Amino acid sequence: MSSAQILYKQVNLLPPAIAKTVRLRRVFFAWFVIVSSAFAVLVSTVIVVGLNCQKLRQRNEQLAAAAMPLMDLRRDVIQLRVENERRNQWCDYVETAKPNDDMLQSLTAIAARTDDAVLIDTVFLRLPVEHGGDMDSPPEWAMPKLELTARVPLASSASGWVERLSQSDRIQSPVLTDDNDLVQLNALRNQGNATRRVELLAVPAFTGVLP
Amino acid sequence: MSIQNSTLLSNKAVVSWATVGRCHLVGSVISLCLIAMIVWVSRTTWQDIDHLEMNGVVVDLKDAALLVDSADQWRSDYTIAYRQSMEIDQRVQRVREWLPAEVDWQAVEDDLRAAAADSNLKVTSVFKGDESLGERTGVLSATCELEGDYLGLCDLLHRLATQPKPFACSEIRLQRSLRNPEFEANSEQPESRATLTLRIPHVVADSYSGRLLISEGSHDG
Repeated sequence: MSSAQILYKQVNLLPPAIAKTVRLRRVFFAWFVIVSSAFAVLVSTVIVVGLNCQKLRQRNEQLAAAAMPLMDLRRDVIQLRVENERRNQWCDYVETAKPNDDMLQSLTAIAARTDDAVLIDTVFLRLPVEHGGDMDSPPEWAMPKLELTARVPLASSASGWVERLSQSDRIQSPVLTDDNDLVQLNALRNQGNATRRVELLAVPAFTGVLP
Repeated sequence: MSIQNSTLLSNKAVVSWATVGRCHLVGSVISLCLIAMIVWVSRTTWQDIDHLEMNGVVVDLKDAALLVDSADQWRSDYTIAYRQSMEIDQRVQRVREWLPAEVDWQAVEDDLRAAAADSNLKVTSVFKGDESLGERTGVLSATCELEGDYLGLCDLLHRLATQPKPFACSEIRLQRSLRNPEFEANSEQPESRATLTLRIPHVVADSYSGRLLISEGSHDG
């Protein structure tokens, strides 16, 4: 750099107004560049964001299009599950109303555990029946009950018979209603053999409440 | 000279309204506004989009993504649920086979007399009882008096419980006939008498059987 050029740089010979204008122009130009750049960044950001949004929207639309039939499928599955559960429950309820052979099983159990020495005169057997009242205190006609009237030889004890009956799964809590099962309530003479009449009360087992 | 004058005049005009400070101020404000707009555009448009409306249905995109990921599971679940539904249909059909839609008393009496005759029992009387509504089914009760032997009675109870439209026997009163030795040889004298209380279930609308079978029937139709 020549000395004249250095001198020109160091010594501002322009009038103040002109110098101020030149400086103002530089400042204005600098801000113009900054603002223009920012504007360009803004525009490019808008374009990039717009393109990305468009891509995202397309992807979301594809996702939604794929998910909509699956949403129907999911709704069907949930409805089917609820419906299945409800119908299963109804089936369970209704199937318990199917008549069973509890009565026959109880009679068979009594016959199987009664030897020939004991003559059963009457049997009253009632199985539990559905009723609309309180479950804790069912009416008498809906409660299970077994009543037996039999003739037992005087020589033998009825307790053995009661013991055998109690061993059956079908007969619960058999008890003689006479006094300690040894009191002769009504002695009879039948074909020359002395017998006494005993009454037995028990609860028959059941697999379901009848309708 | 004239050109220099006009330049000076225009410079004076510029200088008069736009000082350097004002230029900094305006430039800063515009730049800040632009930067704020850039930030706003980049942030606001990139916010998560949760929902999308398609064909009038609002789709939750997060849920949709999870759903697409678990599509195979849902297809498998549908197959299982459908198979269960078919099994329940078969179960319902089995209930329909033993539970009559309605009860014809004459048919009940005929069935009862026929079953008793097959069991070598004599029916002395049959009475139609009350119609009642249970939680599970409707019930027609009946009372039947029989004469015959114990084995015949057991056979009848077995028949009633296992016939296609079974009857429930809720109560039995069995009385052995006290044979008189003098009439022992009299074969016409019955060994025992029995009184049966029968309960014949059937479908009724206001019960679980009605909900199960009547609604199933209307659904199938």
